[in-house]
Amino acid sequence: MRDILLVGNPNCGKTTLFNLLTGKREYTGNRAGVTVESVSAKYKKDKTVTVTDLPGTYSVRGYSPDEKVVTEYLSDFGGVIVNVVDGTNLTRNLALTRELVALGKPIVVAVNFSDEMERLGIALTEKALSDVIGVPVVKISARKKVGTDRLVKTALSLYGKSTAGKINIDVKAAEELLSKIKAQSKKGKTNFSDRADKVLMNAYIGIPLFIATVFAIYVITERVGGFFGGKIGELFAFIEKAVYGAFKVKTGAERVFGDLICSAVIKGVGSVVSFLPQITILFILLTLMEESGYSSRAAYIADGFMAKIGLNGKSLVSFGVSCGCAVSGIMATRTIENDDGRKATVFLSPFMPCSAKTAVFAWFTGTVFNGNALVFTSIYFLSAVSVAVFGKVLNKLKKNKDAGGIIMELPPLRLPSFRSVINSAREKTVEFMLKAGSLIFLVSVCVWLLSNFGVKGYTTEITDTFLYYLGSAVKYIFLPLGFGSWQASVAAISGLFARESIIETLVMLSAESSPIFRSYYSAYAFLVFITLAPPCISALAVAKRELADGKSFFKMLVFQFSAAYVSAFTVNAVGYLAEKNFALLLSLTSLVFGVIISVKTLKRTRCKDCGACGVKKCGKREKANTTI
Amino acid sequence: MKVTDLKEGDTAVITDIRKLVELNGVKNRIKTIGIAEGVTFTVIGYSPLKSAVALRFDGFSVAISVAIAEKIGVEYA
Repeated sequence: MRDILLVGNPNCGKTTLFNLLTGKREYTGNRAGVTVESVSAKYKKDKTVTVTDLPGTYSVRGYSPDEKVVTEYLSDFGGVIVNVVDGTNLTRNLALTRELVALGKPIVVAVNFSDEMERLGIALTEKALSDVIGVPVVKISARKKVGTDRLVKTALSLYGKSTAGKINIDVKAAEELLSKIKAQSKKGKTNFSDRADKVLMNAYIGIPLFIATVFAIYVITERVGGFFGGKIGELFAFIEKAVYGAFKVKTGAERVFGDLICSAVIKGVGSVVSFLPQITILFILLTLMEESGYSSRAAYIADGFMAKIGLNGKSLVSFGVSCGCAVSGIMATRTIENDDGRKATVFLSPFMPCSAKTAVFAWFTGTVFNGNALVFTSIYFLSAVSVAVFGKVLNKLKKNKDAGGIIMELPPLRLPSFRSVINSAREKTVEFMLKAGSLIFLVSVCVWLLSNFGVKGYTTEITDTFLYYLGSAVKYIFLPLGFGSWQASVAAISGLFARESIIETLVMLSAESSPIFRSYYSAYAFLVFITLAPPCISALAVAKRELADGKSFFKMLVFQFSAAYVSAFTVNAVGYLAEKNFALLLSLTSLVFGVIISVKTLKRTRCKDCGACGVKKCGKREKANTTI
Repeated sequence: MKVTDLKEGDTAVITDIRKLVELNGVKNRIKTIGIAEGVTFTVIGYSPLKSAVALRFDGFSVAISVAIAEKIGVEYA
């Protein structure tokens, strides 16, 4: 077995090369931190060769967790290193090359983007660079599939040949060569990026543009995705009716089996599959944002606001990715160098509405709230506000309030590759469907079994079933939150496995008996609870791994459950007061705001111990206010 | 003069990054990303709330927090 390791700066095309060599479809994106852990696969033309893709790094001495993956891999790697460099930005990329060459392991340099180099007029020959750095060089274009076979052949020819102590990079010659290359290169490539940055990164235009982008993503997902989702829902309803008709005439075990197929499988799974168009469109739009390079600019724009809650702009990338799936969002925190900031981001990322939660919101909006779009919009807004509010709470609890300054490369703005966007969206959608298909099917069948069987066996009386007993026992936890019905309790528990299962659980149970939610505000409180509660099992597993120690993981669970409970309780209490005693609600709200404003005013006028008066903590008020 | 004394569009050369040692682990990180003494750059601009500054170097652009930018000594190019 022979091993090839792809190492290079972020954004130099390693993963594109990896996908090409192995036939895999790992996700690529135009930002640092897309690959956050090593990925290995067999070279498709020779199964005795294993290719490993590593996260991008600027140095063999890693700083962030994803870079440390590279350091650990290199320490005892016995194969051939393929150092992928961006041919249009050699000066910076070769800094890592020097460090890699110094390791003494077999290495070949792959100069990527040879097509762009040609367009920019950079006439670098492989021999010229190889003479200067002392190792083989192969020019490739991973995107255009050029030179990759020759690269692998060159790499394999070096197998087992150590270069320790044999190579000294001619630094002066390297600098002369790079100066010559710099003189050759046209400015064309960066011009579009530079011009666009004047708008995208402008302090005044950047924010409204970002908000408009997020709003556009939401509108397109809902309108276009919702239309096609409705059609799929109608198809499943038709299938269910046909199957039900076929089994209606049966008796005994056949009738029970028919009920299982209709209620558990078709209805349950169908209610999730009907959201497939919305999920796919959401993934496509998020990928477009990343592929174009805009997501890094969004993180830069948001940095100041993130700093208010003790984070930096890189956390926004995790939050944004979490809108697709919390698992990916949590893993994206590996690019955050500051330990406390990374942990806080892991704690807060699941608050974002992932694709599964989006499906639940959409179902509630249509079914429980009669299509009131304000519900859907408000929950998204609530997620963002929750991140801010609970982020501030976390920051106050932190011992070290320094979020660690942002140091982030801004990749050049690029037209997204159509194939890459479609591949990425397809992979994520298939992953979602497989997860939804398998987990939901499992939960559907379990809920059906529990809701149709009791101590005496198969029963049509819901109050005799195991599900009723389970829900009745657990409902007291949710009673203060306004949704203390046994059905809502069971749905909330099933949501721990996969949020999408909430839909099919409620669909199955809603036909059975009394209304699940006694009021609109209790239904909204339920939505709030499942938005902020600890995420699904998959995300929890990843969070546990990323947090490394069990204590932090336990703290995360307590933090998220508390946030969900307090928020849902508040929503239910406000709703209840508004319904029963609006005057009291107004009085309480005024009292709360009054207290907040008073406290803030007093804090502003308290002595800040600036020492200007020469007395420590003199207690004198600031100049702008009354002097004591 | 520090990076934070520059305005949008100003071009300068980095003269001193020694003060970055005051920020834990930042100096090496900055150097590996390609920011070192003698390197020329242009200020793209400051983020809203002025928490970060975006700088354009030869072939790449970087956003760094103002707390880090304040520790980098520069002079006009």
